[in-house]
Amino acid sequence: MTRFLVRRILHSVAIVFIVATITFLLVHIAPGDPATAQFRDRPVSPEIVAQYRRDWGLDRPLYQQYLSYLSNIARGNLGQSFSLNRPVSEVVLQALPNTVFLAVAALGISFAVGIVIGTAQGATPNSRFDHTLTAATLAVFSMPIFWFGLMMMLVFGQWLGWFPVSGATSPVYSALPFLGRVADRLHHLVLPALTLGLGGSAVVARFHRAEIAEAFAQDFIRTARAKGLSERDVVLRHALRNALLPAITMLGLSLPVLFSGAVLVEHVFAWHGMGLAAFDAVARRDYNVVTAIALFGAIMVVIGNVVADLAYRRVDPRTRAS
Amino acid sequence: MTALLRVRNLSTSFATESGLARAVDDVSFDLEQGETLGLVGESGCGKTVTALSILRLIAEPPGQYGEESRIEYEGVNLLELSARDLREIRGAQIAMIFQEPMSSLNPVLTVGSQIVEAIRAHGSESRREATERAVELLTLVGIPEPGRQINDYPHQMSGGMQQRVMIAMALSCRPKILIADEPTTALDVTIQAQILDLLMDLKVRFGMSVLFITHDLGVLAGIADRVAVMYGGKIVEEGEVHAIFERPAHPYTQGLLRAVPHIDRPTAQLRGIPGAVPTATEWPSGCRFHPRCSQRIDRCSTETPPDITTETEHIARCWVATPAGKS
Ligand SMILES: Nc1ncnc2c1ncn2[C@@H]1O[C@H](COP(=O)(O)OP(=O)(O)OP(=O)(O)O)[C@@H](O)[C@H]1O
Ligand SMILES: [Mg+2]
Repeated sequence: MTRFLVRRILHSVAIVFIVATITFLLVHIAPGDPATAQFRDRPVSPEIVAQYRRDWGLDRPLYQQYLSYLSNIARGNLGQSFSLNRPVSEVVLQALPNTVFLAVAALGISFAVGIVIGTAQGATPNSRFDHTLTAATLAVFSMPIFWFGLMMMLVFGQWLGWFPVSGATSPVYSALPFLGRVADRLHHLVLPALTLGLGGSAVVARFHRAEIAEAFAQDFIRTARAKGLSERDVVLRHALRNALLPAITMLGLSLPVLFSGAVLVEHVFAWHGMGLAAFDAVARRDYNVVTAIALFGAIMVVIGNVVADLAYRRVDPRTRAS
Repeated sequence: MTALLRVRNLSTSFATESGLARAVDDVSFDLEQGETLGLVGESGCGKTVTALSILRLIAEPPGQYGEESRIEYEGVNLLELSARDLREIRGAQIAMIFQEPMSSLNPVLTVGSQIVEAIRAHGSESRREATERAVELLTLVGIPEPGRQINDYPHQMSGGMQQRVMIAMALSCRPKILIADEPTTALDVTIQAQILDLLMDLKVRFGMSVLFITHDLGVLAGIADRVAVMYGGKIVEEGEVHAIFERPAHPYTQGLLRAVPHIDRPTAQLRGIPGAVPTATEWPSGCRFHPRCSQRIDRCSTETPPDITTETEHIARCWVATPAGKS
């Protein structure tokens, strides 16, 4: 168990290091730098631009910048945001809660919906019901997420007017009583979380359908029926229970997709989270913010995967240490 | 007196890519109150499909029961029961144990909870009462430290212990019939003997009827009252156990007997039947055994053999079998 943990942690550190390096290279290779982005709208003399570069150490050779970047993040120092002139850690921490809020809601939706659909399909394989749902989940899955978000906005925001389409809170938020604030947040959460979550649920449903169908082919299902259990108990107690184990792994695997989806969804719904912050930072060539957010994403993904693996080992009696 | 279980004209087929697999074809037999009927045959002869058909555990589709098929339990045709009524029979009246205890138990549930579930499916016991009953059952089937083992998961037990758990589960509602489908095939020889002893002991104690399925005719000598021999989805010979062992009438039964080790016969002389069981999609014409039969005559390959009564209560479906009183 400890060996497993140590190995996983070394693994995770290596992954985070690679992600840090790749994002560093990507942002520096991309055309433009913070100086050009900074003075894009107001022409200034080349000396001022050069001075800006010197101030921020952007005139040094790339390898030097890379090494100081690595030594900084190793010490937990994420540096300063060029465009916002604030510590990057502040920028990220401010955006983090909204993203976590959105991601957790979306994850909940994608697993709840996906597992219900997948179980229903797997329990009646090749029925008309199964085929219909397969087509439906495939349709949702192949929709570009920003387009799906725009459609949700159009239908439930514009036409029906049920939900707000922009932002995480209303302008009057700070004037609301506590329960009003909670309701306001949840109200704003519905469309972005559904957009992000339903896309994920299509993946979960397809995966889970296969797991349920596989569980159904097992001998112990026959035993359960031979005992005289109702079909409901056979599905819920026997097939679903076994198929839920792989779903835990799926939970870890779906985090990267969730994060990349969140960037787009936050942009569509003007949801002030890490995705939107990353979007703005890229536009401003705010190197430190971009790399920090990528780093944060990577760290959350690897932690999520380790946690999912540990959870799997805990709940599967065959791998649980007795 | 009518039999407890009457299987009549049972045909179970499967739609497969290579055609219709007629796994069980027009099989009839009775299981009397308190008797042990042995069902024997090589692999692929349709024994498991017969057993599963009795409790209607064959998936439809791809499986399908013939229109004439009847499974009469206490006079009721199980093939016509509603799903709800059928559940009242499964486990409570007719219970079943299987060849692979490991895969037949759910790996993520404790053995105790699987037994408790069986008890509560048919009774009004509280969880606590059912758990107490499960401990009693585990004691009965010879599980050491049942109070502790009840919380074990199947993978923590040996194959023999897992099969004991399956037996405990099968007996939990005091069924009148136990169907045992090769319950010892996957176990070590010494364990096999223990499980057989246990089954026969419990059969008497519970006053059950047993349908015992095996591919090893030798096993039946000590436990069965009657034997039905199955080949190619059909019962080819049926009779009282001593008659089958001493006066086998069908060449297939004779072949199976030659494969059984015997004190008078060194194992070196053991002979299997040459050839293999064909697949269920392409049974041979006439007598399905004729391509492998050393005694075949011309008509064997074209005409289905009739029931020949060779002596009282002893029937063989074979053209060369001698009818009673004609020898
Ligand atoms: N679900 C199925 N679909 C298609 N064919 C099947 C199915 N189940 C069984 N069969 C076929 O039915 C025939 C009889 O199978 P069955 O399992 O009853 O044999 P068996 O006598 O129990 O043999 P074994 O000793 O191997 O258990 C085989 O030819 C098998 O291929
Ligand atoms: Mg079998």
